[in-house]
Amino acid sequence: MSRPSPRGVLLQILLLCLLFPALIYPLYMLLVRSVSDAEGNFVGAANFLEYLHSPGLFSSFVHSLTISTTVTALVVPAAFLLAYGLTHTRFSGRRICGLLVLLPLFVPSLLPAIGFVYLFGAQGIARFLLCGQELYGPLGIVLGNAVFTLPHATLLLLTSLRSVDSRLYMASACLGAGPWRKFTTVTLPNARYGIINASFVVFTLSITDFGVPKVLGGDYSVLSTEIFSQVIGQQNFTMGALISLVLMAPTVLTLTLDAWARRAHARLRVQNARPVSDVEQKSSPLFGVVCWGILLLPMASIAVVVFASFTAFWPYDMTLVPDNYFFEEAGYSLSSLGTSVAMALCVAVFGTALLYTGAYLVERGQIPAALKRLYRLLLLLPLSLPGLVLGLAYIFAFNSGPFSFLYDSFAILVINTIVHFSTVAHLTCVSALAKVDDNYEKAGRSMGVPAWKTALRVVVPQCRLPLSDVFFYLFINAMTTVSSMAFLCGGKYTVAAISIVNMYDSGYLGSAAAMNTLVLAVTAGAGVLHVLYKKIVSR
Amino acid sequence: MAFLEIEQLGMCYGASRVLRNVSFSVDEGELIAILGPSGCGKTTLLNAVSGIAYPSEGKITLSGRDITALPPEKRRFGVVFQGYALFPNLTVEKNVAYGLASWDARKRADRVREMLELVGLADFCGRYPNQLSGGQQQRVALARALAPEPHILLLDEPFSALDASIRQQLAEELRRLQRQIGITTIMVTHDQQEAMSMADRIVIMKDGRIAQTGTPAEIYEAPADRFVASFIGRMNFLSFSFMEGREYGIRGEDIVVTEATELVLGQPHTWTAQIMDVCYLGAVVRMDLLLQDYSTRLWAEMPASAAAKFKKGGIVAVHLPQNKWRSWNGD
Repeated sequence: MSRPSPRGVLLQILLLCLLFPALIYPLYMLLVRSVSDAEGNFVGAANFLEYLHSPGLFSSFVHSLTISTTVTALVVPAAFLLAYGLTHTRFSGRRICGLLVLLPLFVPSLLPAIGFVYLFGAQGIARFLLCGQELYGPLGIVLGNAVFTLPHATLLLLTSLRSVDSRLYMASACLGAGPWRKFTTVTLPNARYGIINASFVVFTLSITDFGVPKVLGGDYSVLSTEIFSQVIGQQNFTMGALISLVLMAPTVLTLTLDAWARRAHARLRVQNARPVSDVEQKSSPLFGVVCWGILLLPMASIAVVVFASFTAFWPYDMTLVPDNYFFEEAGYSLSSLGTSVAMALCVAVFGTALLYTGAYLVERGQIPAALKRLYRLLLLLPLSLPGLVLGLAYIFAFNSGPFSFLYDSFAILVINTIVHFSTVAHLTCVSALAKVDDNYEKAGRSMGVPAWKTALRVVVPQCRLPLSDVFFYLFINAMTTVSSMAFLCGGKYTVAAISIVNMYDSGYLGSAAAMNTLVLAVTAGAGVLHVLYKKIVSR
Repeated sequence: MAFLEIEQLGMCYGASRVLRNVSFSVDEGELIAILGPSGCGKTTLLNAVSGIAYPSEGKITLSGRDITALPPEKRRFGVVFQGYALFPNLTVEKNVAYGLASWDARKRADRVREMLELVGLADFCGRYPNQLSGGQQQRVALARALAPEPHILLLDEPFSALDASIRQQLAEELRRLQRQIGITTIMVTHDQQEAMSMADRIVIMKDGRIAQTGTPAEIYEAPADRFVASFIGRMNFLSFSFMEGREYGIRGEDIVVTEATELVLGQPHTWTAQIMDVCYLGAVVRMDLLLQDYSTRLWAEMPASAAAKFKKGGIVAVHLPQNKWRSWNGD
């Protein structure tokens, strides 16, 4: 390792300093509040004991575990079937199917939830399908969570099934193995980590989600809605902080298990694997039926919202009118969408720039290893922080104290969202940088060009595609996130996703559907631009 | 009737034809090398033989039986893939036993042990592929391919993933093993030395067609075209044309370089040349020569002892004995 560069060290320290008010201080305040009473006096584990002894509070923990386990058990097999069909078989409309799978990623998690209200709610057109079961409660939460976690699980399993070396299938065929033996000896073992990883992701996403239980939960409380009602309903910040820690426990546990599983799986990684090619894909109409069948529910729940947003009064007056889009009539305005777009753009621009710089310094910068380790560790934290928890921690950190000038500002929304989604974005930057030849900066310096110049002129251009992925990822998530905004909006700034919740709460279902449709239009438009950009760049 | 017969094989990927009119035969116990530069279609040909790829035209017969449409599972051909494709989730033992699913347990265990002893890895049965060196992985792949007693052994670039130092040793070992078992073998390679040293016969491919088939000596002595002449060994192409439609060349080791005396220069096919460079390669010395016409460049090879007296920049006599000229049909 060569001599540390002072500029790099300074920049890294600056980034770490930014993380202090954005991450460390709020978390510290959250911890403090969970062991204090309402007046701020230290009470130790007293709050926790109170929590354990109030059956009403503890039941939400059991509910959350039940819901998340059920969702995982439903979604992962379905996602596996989808991913297997998309990678290993051919059927008509497979390409479209592969695109539609991703659609729920482009909408707030509560859009499909509102779709279910239209389909199975009190005035639902497909209510008979529930056979008299109540939508509001566990059933609704499971359905809603299943729809929005499905694409996440499918994406992970797609990657995992695609990366199986096709030569293993050839070898297995030449050694006389039939289709079932190929599946059990090649496909499954190689997809095992993908399945484990997808299970953890689905479990974590559904246990930390706030939008779906808010809309479909009814009286059935889960951890996230419990936190919200403690803080907003009963002004019991202490209990809110404590339940936040409880909510983090399963998340931290799954992340730990996931890291362990990843190491155990490393043995199976094949160097220079040739992904499964068309040769291995067998035509299978059966898988076509299965894949389209699985997609039916998510598609219906999204399509019905878009359609209903244009109807006069669902389901009694189905004339197509744009009335729902005149938000002023319901006492709301279009400005929340503007706030969302502005916020998402800021998140994408600043987030990409900061996180890429950080990843660059950690991967290629000449700075002390201890600084690198600290930065890496801090950026893994947000992955285990549910949005609602981070939002609450921000409330504690910014409503008073040294950083209170940020309270109720636009900046706080941007900072919170960048931090909330930083881990995935950081890891994407890291893996992109790992693919760039190590020696460019050295080559540049041997020609008398400082490293930072080479970084800007050679390394950054080579990362254009992953950088656009990071930008897009941050933009989409900032547009659609509900959970991290729940506590931070309500004063001067309200984002679209939160105004949807408010519209729904005050009974303006049509307006909620219309706003949802607008968010979808923005994210889908961004998606098209993203694809176009990638096409142009890679040409 | 040959053991394996490949007739008029053709294959297309979309609009591009990757194989055309490929015909050759393999006798029982023979080792055939399919040799060609990358992208010449040799791996595709091997895939068609193993059944992984289905040819668009032509026929493959094994002992007189048409197997063109037979899927790979039914062919009983042992294949060693490029990069070996060992199952990473299975131990060495289970990898080798993979093709023996239909055997009874006792026979299977015996066969696995026999195969691992054959390749000298009996002590490694409990290891996983990622705990083995490249050479060991290659031997496991070989044992796995041979275990189900295949009709034919197919090797796709078996040495390309190995260090140069271990390559030759493993190549000799493989050749010995192949003779010992007497298994008919087709090996795909881009390395002409590997093909020359191992194969009974070589099939040279270019752009999806066969350029020449023959024993290593036949191909070296009488290359069928300019491509083969330059791909197998090196060839000096003689630009002065003597006969319409034919091209001529001479191997570097056939060029006679002597001191330029009047006596020598009076002989036919002898010219003066300047030594442009002398390159010492150990046993032999290579010399770059510029003929007196100031345009023809030749390179000659000779034993180091014979070259000692020649220095860079010197003028020498170069004799190209006519009985050593190789010729082929020009394009």
